[in-house]
Parts: sequence; structure tokens; C-alpha cells
Amino acid sequence: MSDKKIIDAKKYSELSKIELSDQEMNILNEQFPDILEYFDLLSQVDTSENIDDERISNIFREDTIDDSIADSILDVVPEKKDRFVKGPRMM
Amino acid sequence: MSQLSSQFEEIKEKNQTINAYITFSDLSDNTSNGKLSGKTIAIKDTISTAGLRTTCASKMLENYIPPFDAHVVSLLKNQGATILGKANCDEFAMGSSTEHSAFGVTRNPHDLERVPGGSSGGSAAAVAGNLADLALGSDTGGSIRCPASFCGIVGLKPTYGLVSRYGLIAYGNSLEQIGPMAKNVHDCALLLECISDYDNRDATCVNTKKIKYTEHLDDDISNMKIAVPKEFFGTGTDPKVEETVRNTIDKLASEGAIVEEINIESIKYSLAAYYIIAMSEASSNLARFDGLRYGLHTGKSKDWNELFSNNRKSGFGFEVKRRIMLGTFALSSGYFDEYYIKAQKVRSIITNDFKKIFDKFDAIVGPTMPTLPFKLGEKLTNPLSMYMSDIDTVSANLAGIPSISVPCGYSDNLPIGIQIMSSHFEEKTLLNLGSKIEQIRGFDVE
Amino acid sequence: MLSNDFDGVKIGLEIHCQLTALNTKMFCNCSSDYRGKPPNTLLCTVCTGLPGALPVLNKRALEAAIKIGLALNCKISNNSNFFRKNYFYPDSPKNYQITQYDKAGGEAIANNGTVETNLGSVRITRIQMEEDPGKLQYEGSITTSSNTLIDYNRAGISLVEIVTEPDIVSPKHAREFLNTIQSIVETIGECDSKLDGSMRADANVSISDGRRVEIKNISSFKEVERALNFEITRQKTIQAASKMETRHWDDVRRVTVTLRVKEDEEGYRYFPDPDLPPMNISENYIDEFRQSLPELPDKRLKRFTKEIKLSEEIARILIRNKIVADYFEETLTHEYNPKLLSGWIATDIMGYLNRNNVEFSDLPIESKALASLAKSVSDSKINDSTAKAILLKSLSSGTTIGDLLKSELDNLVSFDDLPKIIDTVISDNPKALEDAKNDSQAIHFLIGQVMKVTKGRANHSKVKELIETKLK
Ligand SMILES: [Zn+2]
Repeated sequence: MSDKKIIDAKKYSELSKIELSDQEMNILNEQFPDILEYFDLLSQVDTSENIDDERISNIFREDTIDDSIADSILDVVPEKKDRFVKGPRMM
Repeated sequence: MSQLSSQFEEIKEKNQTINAYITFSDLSDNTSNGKLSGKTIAIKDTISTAGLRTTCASKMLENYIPPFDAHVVSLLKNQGATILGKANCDEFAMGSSTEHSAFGVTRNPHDLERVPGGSSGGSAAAVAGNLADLALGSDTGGSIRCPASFCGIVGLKPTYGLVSRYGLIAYGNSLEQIGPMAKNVHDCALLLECISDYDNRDATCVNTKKIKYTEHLDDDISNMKIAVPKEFFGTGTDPKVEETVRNTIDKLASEGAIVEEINIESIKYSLAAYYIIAMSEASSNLARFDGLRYGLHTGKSKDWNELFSNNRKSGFGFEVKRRIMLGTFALSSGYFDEYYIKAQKVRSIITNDFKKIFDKFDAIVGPTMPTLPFKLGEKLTNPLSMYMSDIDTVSANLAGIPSISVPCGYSDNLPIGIQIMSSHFEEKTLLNLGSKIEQIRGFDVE
Repeated sequence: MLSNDFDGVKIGLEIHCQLTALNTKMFCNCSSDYRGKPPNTLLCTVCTGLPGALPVLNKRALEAAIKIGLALNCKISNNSNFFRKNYFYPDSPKNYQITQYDKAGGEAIANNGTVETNLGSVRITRIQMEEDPGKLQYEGSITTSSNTLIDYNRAGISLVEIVTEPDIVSPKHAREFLNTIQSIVETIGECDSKLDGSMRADANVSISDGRRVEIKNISSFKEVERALNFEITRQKTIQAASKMETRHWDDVRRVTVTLRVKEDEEGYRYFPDPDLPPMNISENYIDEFRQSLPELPDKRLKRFTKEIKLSEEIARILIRNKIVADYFEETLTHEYNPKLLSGWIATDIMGYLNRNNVEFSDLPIESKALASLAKSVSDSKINDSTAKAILLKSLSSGTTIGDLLKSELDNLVSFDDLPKIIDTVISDNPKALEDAKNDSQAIHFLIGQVMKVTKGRANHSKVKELIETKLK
């Protein structure tokens, strides 16, 4: 457990679409090994036995139409064109 | 109304120092008559309120006004409550001190240099500082109980599925519940009665028999079986906290409760399991904040990829970014089995261990927080030490069981809370024991 | 392309099939009738991913998926659940898609099926439920447009994704398989494949030792065959695909192009969706659906060939489209002449419709009218070739079969007048009558003379029948 793991914050900032400043990147790269070392505490637990979770199941709704609230949803959209949500270019 | 208006002005004045509220309501007259008529309430800013700005204490939602009410908010309105405003918290409920807010820290009314706890710190400070009669918080890993303990009030995290999450902006959605916060157990029970209502818009909400919690506060506790896990008094526990909590447990024993010290080995893994699961879920739950449909929109970008990255860079604070990064890591291929899956398996073990305890005992008791309220900024630069504050609270969230924090004493003029847990949907037991503690602890909360 | 050009070709398909019979979207109560609606008019908190909104599964979506699973001979899962597929894209309101998964404790609603086609059977790996994303529009093309316009009306529409094993051996086989699937979901009534975009396919192709190439964005089944032909030729030309890749079918230029806009498969970070409780589906519940399934195309094929005694070729053409097979069976209720009616429908009518690009559902001839035409033949009022001429004329002119048949019959020499005309012809050709008594072929001369006298307006078989009585 002594080998500290390295997480490359840059990789996960790309996957999670959050740009990080160099300073943020440095802080995270410094903190992550300690946090992971703590998380690795779980490797001590024997989880070979399968435990069935008792969860509720089969919660469905009926196939009936409610009135659309589209106008109030569009009210909070920052950039619109006509009734379209306006996004940036794709490529 | 005029009395309420002048009271409202006083609250706004007090808020200048406490900073319990992010947004005040327009104090619209609630004409509904119900159990909460005449009561004022602060609502944590992670809970959606139609027409009233809901920010999650984040720059991302600085100007977001939801077009709908959370189910609990509709219920409060029907019961005649007067909503005063939206309470400050850690951004997206990620924190244990309410220092991670884009709208400034909330101060503890007992000591303005100390944190109120978190993440529902604004809710707790509002009640403790007389800025509201009642408050709603949300609790993913202790976010109701921690600030309740630090601010010397009562806070209850309900059983997962008792209260609808519809309208609660998700952080760790398999863990969290909205819950009541109040000065005393009676008001807490009353508020729980009002918000525990089946809602078919939340598929995880359970349709259970309605219970009048306020009618069970004085039930006899003699012969009630109470377990005290050694793990809740671990090495990081402040001796002053331990002493006060143990004294209270002794008093419960002298009231006829049967107290037994036990071991729950798996508790020591709960914090790591909790953080892996909560962060993983958060990384997905917070993906929707890209600035297209609502929220912060930074303007021109060369393509969608850059726009999303810019919006999210500018909208999220550093703690939120840290947790999204770690959660993204824990779910990514190559690490998924080692972290996410492992944490879920450990969660099952913990849940199972608690279940076994509740076959024999009615309640589990220990401290809510391992320490007294800490100084502002004290843990801000060391995230792991901040995470450690949740060591005694997270297991209830993992197991989905209800848990309450009730003030049980003071040290250095700072409040100490005792935590009680019970089996699924046994909130009645928590409130019953909590009420007894109020009677035997030897002081009143003003 | 010669058939042996497809040696070593392995094709797998992923078919996205919208559950068009549902009133509402998969996880909210918004109307699913989005086609032709103004943009962003069918929205709620759930399908636009507003903070705090939660999904609840439409019960009908589960039922439809179970029915499709049974129809494709799958094992229905007793313990199925939903996962999140995490990827950022502007058409995805939550930046994750609610779908199903086959690893990490995930289980799709249906698994391990098979579908028979006349070019070989295809194994179904699994059928999973998932939500459709919104629709992106560009001012110009995807590469040049300075803006993207997003319409979320389609976001949250219920889909099933049918995943096959790589059992398909040629583009033609792919087409045949897709037609079979289409016919099955139509028969069950859960997907109206005529609706634009209701059925879409992704394909993966590999040749011998070449690596797998995926082709995305094939918007219609006709395009699948075309895209596969292109891709196989492309791979053969460059020997073998040098790498795993995902390519995008450009149906305007009819080429596949490299695609790299979304995450890599390993970046999807699948995990169980905590908002949606699992589905525990009992065998009793599944049996109810099994028993209520309508007759499926392969069963119908057997009935058509065994009981109605159609040729396999004709029967396959009919069952490929439920509407066609239903129409055929309806004509039989009016006039039981399967051979004649099936031939007309499978060759004359479908040939005409195909040439003119008309859907069978728009056929202007009612089943009863077609049956009456067959009855006229059975009753020997007109002969086969006249009937076929009437059918084709009705199709091309729009005149009803009833009107055409009436004027044809009006025009014919009445049966009452025929004996007199035949007597005259025989008395004018006494030798021919004697010849015909000895040589059965010689009767045709006499028939020909009758037709000549009547200018072709006599019923051929009636004339033959009447002359034959004279020969005895
Ligand atoms: Zn909707």
C-alpha cells in the first residue's frame, strides 16, 4: 500500500469537460495520491461473498400524456433562436 | 403581516453577519391553513422553488429560476408555511463547513469565527440564529446532522425513500434525502410529518403508511435496546465530545434503556466507500450543467467542446471540480472494479451489518461529529481532513437508514450533538429517544 | 459484385427501433408524437434534464420491449436494470443516456435470441431499452455551420436497440434480416417502420483477418445494403482495415467517412442509474405476453405454404410485409382462390407498386374488389389474361376494378347468344368438326373461328366448353 498512485488530472478534466488552470492541475495532482491511498483502505475488505441488496423494484408510470410545460422550460434557456436552443458549432 | 414584515427586516439585518441566506423570498402571503401556518422556514438552496432563484450555492446557477417546485416545497406551501428564502450551503452540497459556497461562508451563530458545519450550514444557522423557525436541509453523507450538531439544533436524515427527491438537485442520488431541521424535536417531528408524502415522480420514493411522529414523542423508552458501536469513538474523536455523548447515553440507561457496547467492524470502511460512491454519482449528476439549457453561459467559443469546458470551468468551484475529477476517475475503465464496484460491495456489507444489529437493537447511538465546530479556514486546504469530519455520519447514508442529531451538551460554549440511528422507516424511535434526551440533558435551546 | 466476393465477410447489426405505439416518452409524460411538431414544444423537466427532475419508467415501454424480445426468440431477463452511459454531446440533455448494459451487474431486458431468414439464421445478442437523444440541425452542413440548433422534442423517446452476433454474411443478407425484423415489429404493432427515422441501424463489418469497422448513421434500411457494399469494397481495396475504427455513412455522397466526435467506448463510464429501481419480471408475467403475441411472420410462412399451399417464394414475399399478408388473407375471405390472388399480389401488384415507388398501404384496390376479379375467373366469366389486364389497367388508370369488369362483361357476347354463333361456325366448317372429334388439338381451329366472328368478345373457356359438348 506504500506505492502512491498517480492520477493524471488532465485526462479526467478532458473526460469531464472541465478545463483546469495550471495551478488547479498542480494542486489536484498533489492531493490525489493521498486521497486515493485513503480510498485503497477498501482493498482490506473481503468482498468475495455476494450479498443481495434488498431494493424496491418495479416502479412504473402509466402511459398518459401530461400538458407540455415547454414554454416555461424555454424561459430559462440562455441562448435561443426562434424556438430552438442555440448551441455552438459542432466542428 | 406587518409583524412578519418587520420580523423579516430584522432577519435580513442579522443575515448580514451570519450569511445564512443566499436569496430572500418576496414573502408572499401564504393563505393555506395547515400544520405549518404561522411558521417561517428556510429552504436549502439545493431544493427547487418555482419562481425563486435556486443556485446550489454555485456560480453555475447564479441566475437560475426553476419553473417548478420540488415536491417538498409544494407540501410546505399546502401546509401554510411561510418561505423566507433560500439557505446557503456548500456548492452542490459538497462540503462539511459551508465554506465552499460561491456566495460566501455562513458563520456559526454560537461563534462567528467558526463554521456552522455543512453542507446545510445556512439552514442550521438560520434556525440557530433565529432567522427562521424551521429549515429544510439535504443530507448525502451527514449534511443535515453535521450542521445541526455544530449549530446546536435538531436535524434528521430520513430513511432513503421516505421523502421525495423530486426537485432536489442531485449530488449523490443513491444516498441523499431531504430532511427537517428545527430548534426542538417536536418541531422536527412536525416538519417530517409534513414532508414525508409518497410521490410517484420519484421512483425511489416508497409508499409507506403515514405516521404521526408528534404523537410518539413521549412513548416509554424503558427496555429500549441501544447499541453503542466502539467504532464511533475512534482516534479522531475529541475527548470532550466523547465525554458529553457518553454522559447522555448513561442518562438514557438510567431512564430504563438497555445499553450495550458493540463492534461494527465495517464502519471503518464507510467513509472511503461513501466518498467513492458519492463522487462517482456526482460526476454523472453534474454532467448536465453545460450551460445550453440553463445556467451559466460564457458566450462565444470555437466549438461545443470548448463551450462546455469553458462553462464548466467558470461555473464550478474548486471542491466541485475535485469531486467530479475523482468520480470520473472512479468510474473510468481500468479503475471501475477497483473503486466503484468495490465501494458498492463494501456498502452492501455495511448495510447488512446494520441490518443484523437492528435485529437485536432498537437504536444505535454515538456522537454526530467527532469534533467541536472548527475555525473558519481550518480545514480548507486539506480536503482529506475535511472529508474525515463525516466519519460518523456517512454509514447511515450508505445503509439508507434514518438518523438524527440532537443537542446533548456544550463544551467551550460550543454545542455537541448526539446521533441516533434506527432501522428503515423507524423515524418514530429516533424522535422518541430525541425527545427523551431533551428532557434529561438539563438545558433548553433558546 | 460476385457472390464469392463476400467470402469471409462478417456483419453484425445494431438496430434502433422506436416504440412508436406509445403515447408518451420513456421516462416522462410528454407526448411522443414529435414528428411535424414545432421545435421544443413537447418538453418537461425530465426530458430536458432540468436540475432535480427524475425519470420514472413508462410501463408500456417495458411491455413493448418484452414483446419484441419474445418475438425474436429471446430469453426475457427476470432481473433487468438501467445504466447510465456518460458522454457529453449537445443533443443529450443530461449528458448521459439512460440505457442498459451487459456488464458490471447490468442485464438487458432480453438476451440470446435467433431470427430465421431465407439466407440463414442470425443470433440476437441482446435487446436493450434506451432513450433517444434530441435532434441537431445545422445552418448548412455539420462541418461548416457556425451554430447548432437543438430541438429536444425527440429527446426521451423510447427505443429498443437490437444487437446481433456477426452472423450476417452479405449486404443482401443484412437487407433480408432487416426486412424480417421490420415485419416482426410491425406484426406486434410496437413500431411503425414507415415513420421517418423510426428504425435506424449501425453496422459492424469485418473481413477475414481484418479488424472490425463500425458504420454509424445509416438512416434507412435501403441504405444499409448500399453502405455495406461500399465498406466491403473499400476494405477489400485496402486489403484489410488497418485499425478498429468508427465510420459515418454519408448518404448524400454514398461513402463512409472516419468519425471521431464522441467518446471512445471505454470513456462511457457505465454505471447503474440510482434513480431507477430494477425490474423484477416473473415468468408468469412473461407468459402472459407470450400467450397474447399475434401470429409472427415465420409461423405465418408455414401456414401459407403448408395449409394454403402457396409456393415458398410467393409466401415469403407476402409475409415480408404484414400489411401485404393481411391484405392477401382478407381477399381470401371474399373468394378463396389462393393461387390466383397470391400471384396477382406478389407479382403484378407489388411489381407495379415498386416500379412506381408507391407504398402497399396506399394501394387503391380494396381486397373485396380484387376478390371479385378472381371470382369472375373462377366463374369462367373472363379468363386469366383478361383479368390480369383489368388489374393492371385499374392500377395504372385508377378506374375501379368493378367498372372495368363491368364494361368488359358488357362488351362480351352474352352466353345466351353463343350456341347460335357456334352452330353457324360449325355448319360453315363441317370438316373441322370431324377433325376435332379425332384430334383434340383441332378444337382450337373452331374456337379461333368463333373468336374471329365475335371479334374476340366471346368468353374463351365458355366457347371451348360449348364446342366440346358438340364433339360428344
Ligand atoms: Zn418530458
